[in-house]
Amino acid sequence: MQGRPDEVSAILRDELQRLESQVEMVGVGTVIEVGDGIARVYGLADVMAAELVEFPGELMGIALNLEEDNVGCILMGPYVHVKEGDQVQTTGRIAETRVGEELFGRVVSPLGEPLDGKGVVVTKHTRPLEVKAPGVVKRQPVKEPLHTGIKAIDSMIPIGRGQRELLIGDRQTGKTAIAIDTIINQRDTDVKCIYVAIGQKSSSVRRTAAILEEHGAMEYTCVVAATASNPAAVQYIAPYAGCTIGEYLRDNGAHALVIYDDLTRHAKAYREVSLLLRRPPGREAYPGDIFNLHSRLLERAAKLSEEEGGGSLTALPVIQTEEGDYAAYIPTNLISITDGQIYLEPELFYAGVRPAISVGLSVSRVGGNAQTQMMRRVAGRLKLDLASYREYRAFSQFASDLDEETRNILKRGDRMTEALKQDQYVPMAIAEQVIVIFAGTHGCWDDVKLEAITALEAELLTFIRERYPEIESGLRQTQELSDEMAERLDKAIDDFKTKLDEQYLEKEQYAERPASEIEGVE
Amino acid sequence: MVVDTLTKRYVRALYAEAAERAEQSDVYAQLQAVAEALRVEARFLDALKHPTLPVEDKVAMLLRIAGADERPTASFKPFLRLVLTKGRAQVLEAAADGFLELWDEDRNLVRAEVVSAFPLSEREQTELKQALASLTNCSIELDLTVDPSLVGGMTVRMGDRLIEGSVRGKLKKLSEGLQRY
Repeated sequence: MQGRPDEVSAILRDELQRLESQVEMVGVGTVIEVGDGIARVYGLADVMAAELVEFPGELMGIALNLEEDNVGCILMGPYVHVKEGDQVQTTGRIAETRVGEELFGRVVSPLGEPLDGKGVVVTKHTRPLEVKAPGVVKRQPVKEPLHTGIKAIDSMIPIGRGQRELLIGDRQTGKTAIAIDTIINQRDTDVKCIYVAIGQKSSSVRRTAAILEEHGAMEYTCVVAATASNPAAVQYIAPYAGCTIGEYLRDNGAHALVIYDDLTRHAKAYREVSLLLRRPPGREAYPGDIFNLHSRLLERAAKLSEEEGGGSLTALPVIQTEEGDYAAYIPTNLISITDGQIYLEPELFYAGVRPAISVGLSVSRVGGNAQTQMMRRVAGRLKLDLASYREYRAFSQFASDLDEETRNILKRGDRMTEALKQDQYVPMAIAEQVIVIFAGTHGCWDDVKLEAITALEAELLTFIRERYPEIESGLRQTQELSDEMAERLDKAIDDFKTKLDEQYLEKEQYAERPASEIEGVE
Repeated sequence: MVVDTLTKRYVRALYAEAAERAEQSDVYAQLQAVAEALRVEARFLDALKHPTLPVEDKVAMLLRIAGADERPTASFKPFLRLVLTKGRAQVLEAAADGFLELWDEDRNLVRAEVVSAFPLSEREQTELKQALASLTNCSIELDLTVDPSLVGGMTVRMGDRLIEGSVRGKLKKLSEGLQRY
């Protein structure tokens, strides 16, 4: 225990004083059935819905089913020692968790217990897990950006503070990678991050925490982990615990980002618990309130009005689809709840487009309202370029037979797709993104070899930073791209191109082939 | 014993009849005898559930066990007949406890299970009874047990409520409180 000896005496005296005055009365019941992570208790006449109840061995449970002659409780831990006839006590507390700054930098369980071996987390406050989301009057529209640092997202599918944006895709398509990059990108901002791992392998959570630590992100991140070996009951409350931690910041005028990885497993855990409690099964055996399970969770991510402190909680829920079926039950639920989705496709992933974001299927319902002016200006052109590209892509096989305009659209699309590729763990600052996208949409790469673009992007940024530093600093300060600034940037890019080595330039890719090269022609 | 909903329904009917005739005490004694018999002999319940034995024979057997001749009651026999005719013999296992619950409620009596670290003196028992009586506004009957592991003090359980006043309980609260630091 840390602290000085005189502090310990003071604490002891405090506690003893409190105990002397109290003789308390608690509600009790008797276990009549226990197994599969749930227990049925007889008695507990005054128990409240979702109240925390205590079983022998300091095992906590939550009273979920208040039935005529028994109470169905879910157990938050190992219960091998619980037997029929054991006494159960109420605690007077509705299910709650610890909240506060002290949780950041730590890996904890949904109940606030430490998982990183760094000792008990001591917080001054706790908050109930289930609260009603703020009402309409307490909110204001989302208007500040939450930058992921990923070019494709911040330009075309921008996320704002207080938004809920769904990360959806098959397994191994990069959903978690986007989430982690977003966390890393918050390093120099005032946004605190919460990563909720539901039903994952413990080794995966460990790796994620290590990566965050490596990139200096752990100090402002709290990892809430309910891994696969935890009872379904604990996995069920994990997202609510993460949300509660974020809400505490939101309600105190601060900003937080919470990531639920992933809600597919969360839905399955809740289904397990509901079926064991004998609640009637609905579609695909999910309980009837599976929609409300997620809607009430996500509604708590919001942007509060200035009167309420102006704080925000942004949510990035993750959903895994099977074989690309985004019309399945749980995915469609989440799509209808969230303010947009980022759809990741395995085909793109294996074709080398990473992040494998489908620009056509992804959307942000908040859109430009959450973008800075400079990004809004360059992104418009980008979206158009890529939209035309998608339309004509089917014809790329016959490139040599097409007219010049179409060929140019395809050329531009190829190049912008290449320019939007990005490695993991290197989120890009928004000013740099603007420069790079501006260059691309103004034809900078149109005559450059595809495979050289990634390297040249980095060189362009270095070039501009060294020769024309006022551009980047200007953009960063004003967050605006004025006409004058645009002209200067254009000139800088031209300058860069003139100094560019011949080897990077592409000879006309879609030129007419001389007749002598076409077979069968004399 | 846990009194299930089904037993409660039958017992409620029986109690209404018994109360009307003010024969609760006798009926309770008879129910206790039957419950004891069921507890002692495992096959007795099977016999009562047996479909081919006539109901009247079963009723007569139960009345003999309950000693109905010495203390005749008007409500007990019809109750037995009803239970057996409906095929709900298992109700008889918990019926005595259920009946007592209703009777206590009617008399405004609360049974307090008291577990203390040391045996309570006569005076202490009286004091406790008075304290509990004023707390609950009911008359109290104490059921006393001694358990040294409480270290000191006592716990009092009344129905679904528990008063935790033992030293062991306080030590536990202290350690929980200290864990926060």
